[in-house]
Amino acid sequence: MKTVASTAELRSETEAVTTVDRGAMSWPLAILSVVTTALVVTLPLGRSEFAGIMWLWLVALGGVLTLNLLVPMETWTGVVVKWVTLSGCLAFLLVFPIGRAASTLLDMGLFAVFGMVCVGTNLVHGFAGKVTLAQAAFLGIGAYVSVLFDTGREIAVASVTVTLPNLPFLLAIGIAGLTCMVFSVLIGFPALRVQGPWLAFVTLAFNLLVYLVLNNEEGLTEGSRGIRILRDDVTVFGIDLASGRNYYYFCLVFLIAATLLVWWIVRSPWGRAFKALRDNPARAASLGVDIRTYTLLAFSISAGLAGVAGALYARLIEFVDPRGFYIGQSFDFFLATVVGGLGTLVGPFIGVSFITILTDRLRIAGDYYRVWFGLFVVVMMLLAPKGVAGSFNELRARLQKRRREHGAKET
Amino acid sequence: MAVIDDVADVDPGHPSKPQEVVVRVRNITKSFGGIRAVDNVSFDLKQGEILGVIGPNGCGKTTLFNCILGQYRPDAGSVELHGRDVSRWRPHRRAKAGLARTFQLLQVFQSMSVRDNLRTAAQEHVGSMGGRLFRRPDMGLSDEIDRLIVRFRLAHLAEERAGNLSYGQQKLLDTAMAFVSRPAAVFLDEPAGGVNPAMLGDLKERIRDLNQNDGMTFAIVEHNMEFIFGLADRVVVLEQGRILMTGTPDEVREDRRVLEVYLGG
Repeated sequence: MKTVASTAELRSETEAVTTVDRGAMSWPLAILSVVTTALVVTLPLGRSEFAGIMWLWLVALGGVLTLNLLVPMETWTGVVVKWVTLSGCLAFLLVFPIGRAASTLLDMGLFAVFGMVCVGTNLVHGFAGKVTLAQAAFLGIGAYVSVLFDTGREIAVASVTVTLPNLPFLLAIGIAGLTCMVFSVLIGFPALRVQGPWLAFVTLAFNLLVYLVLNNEEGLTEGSRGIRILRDDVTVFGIDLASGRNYYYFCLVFLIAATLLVWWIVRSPWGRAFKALRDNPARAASLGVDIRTYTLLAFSISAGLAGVAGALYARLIEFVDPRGFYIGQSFDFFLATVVGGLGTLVGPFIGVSFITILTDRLRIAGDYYRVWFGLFVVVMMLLAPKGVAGSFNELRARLQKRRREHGAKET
Repeated sequence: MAVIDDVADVDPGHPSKPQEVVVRVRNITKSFGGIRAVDNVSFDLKQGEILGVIGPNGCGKTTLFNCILGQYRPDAGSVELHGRDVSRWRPHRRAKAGLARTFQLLQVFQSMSVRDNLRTAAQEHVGSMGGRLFRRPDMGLSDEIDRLIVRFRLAHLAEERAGNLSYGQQKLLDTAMAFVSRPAAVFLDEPAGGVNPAMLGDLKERIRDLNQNDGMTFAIVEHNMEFIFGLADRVVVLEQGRILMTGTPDEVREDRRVLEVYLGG
């Protein structure tokens, strides 16, 4: 080979690499995809019980996933199947609340709110590779900050009494998110000095600290009595959020926005820097990646999302008390993200579906809830060590490789 | 045993090449516990040269590189890049300023494609932090990266996960990542380690090509004597953290002290 090839030569070689042959469209498969997806959307209609619906939905979703496995992603058919599936999932989330009982809408709202937290957790843990067990703390900070700022409450800290302003709900949500970002940068600096399990301990300690403050600063938070805040007077752009269904849609908008944000970040150069950070921080630094700034960015974005989710959460259950933000809740978010599949965009949704179903189903188990939940996680990790979405992707890659080898043999 | 301490100004040089100093290393010292891993090492890396750094195992070659590039903070000494003192800079800042490197052990991002590995290596050198969030995902670097991919003969593997490549291919990618940002100087830590002989020639060819056609400057730590003597303009020999001698490959090959160090004679 010559030492320097001409530009034209390079270009032709390069083009040979970049162009993908998408092949012909397979209509039967595409139609099958539309039918399965339609089932996913319509199966739960007319059923009232939350968990039953979610199980059905998961079964139907399994069908869609299998179809995704069978069709190579890079073909036109694959592209169509993917988009049909995605829009089907979105349609489900939109159609679902029609004609539901208030309790089911509450569960769906929890799905949206917790989903948002997990989307953030996935960014910092799945993509940037930093284990964080403080998401419940940020959820709590977000919840309390929003409640303090949009109800005109009077607070007393260290014998100083202040009357806080009564800000519009949307503004309070924004303040909640920003406060969490500030806190995350503050703990981010010391936390950056440690890695892996030690980082998890630092964040866990922070979570505990936040819990203790929320529980003991009664002048600020009413302590363990909690604060009751009704949604009946909340309107945004003239839409009355007192109705359960409206509020669910309101949360859903935030969930979708959060997902789009993370999707955008992950495909941007930031996303590559995050992955570089996760795979090999020393090498990343030697290539000019500012690991401190990127780590703080990942941390603060995920904390901001959790803070916004916290503000939505407070109004969803119309009550805040410190127990909802104990470290156990952080573990739930952590496990949901891991079970769903770290570093995948759909993973958090799968994980959060599981935890919302399980919390609903296991309510009868009372205090034994976490035992069952733990058992479930262990089984899931044995079945799908990379999480549901991660293992699914792996399986697809393996099938793709086999297909390719098969194709190579034939030619 | 004779030890020459201050050889920085001794310069056999290369008649055909300009002699501007790119990296000036002065009196670098680094101890671990009671062991002086690098002891008062100084040398100049000149524009367009290939400098070999050799020495027996544990003589401090890698520690020296880590001090120069910021992975370690040396106990004493300074590093200058084009006359600017970079001694207190963090590694990523030195990288952005033009000091690129590879590591002794293979360091590619396993879960990313070959192309994304190179994009990661290139992206931080252009634009601003905020701009990077809103620019096109490829940062407008695709053409340059594809050219490098072809140059390193990785074209057929561009979209393959780096973790799926053979060891030699990953090593090529690892080396390519150091060049993508057009650095002022490239520090390669054992580029030939674990690479099979067939690929070794390829690697040597790439380095020579980049040196001669792009005027790139290299410092290379290497155990493979044949590889380094065939490539380097100048060779620094380290022994127990100190510079034993500096000279052209021929001078080093024939030096009695070097033989003593290697053969324990």
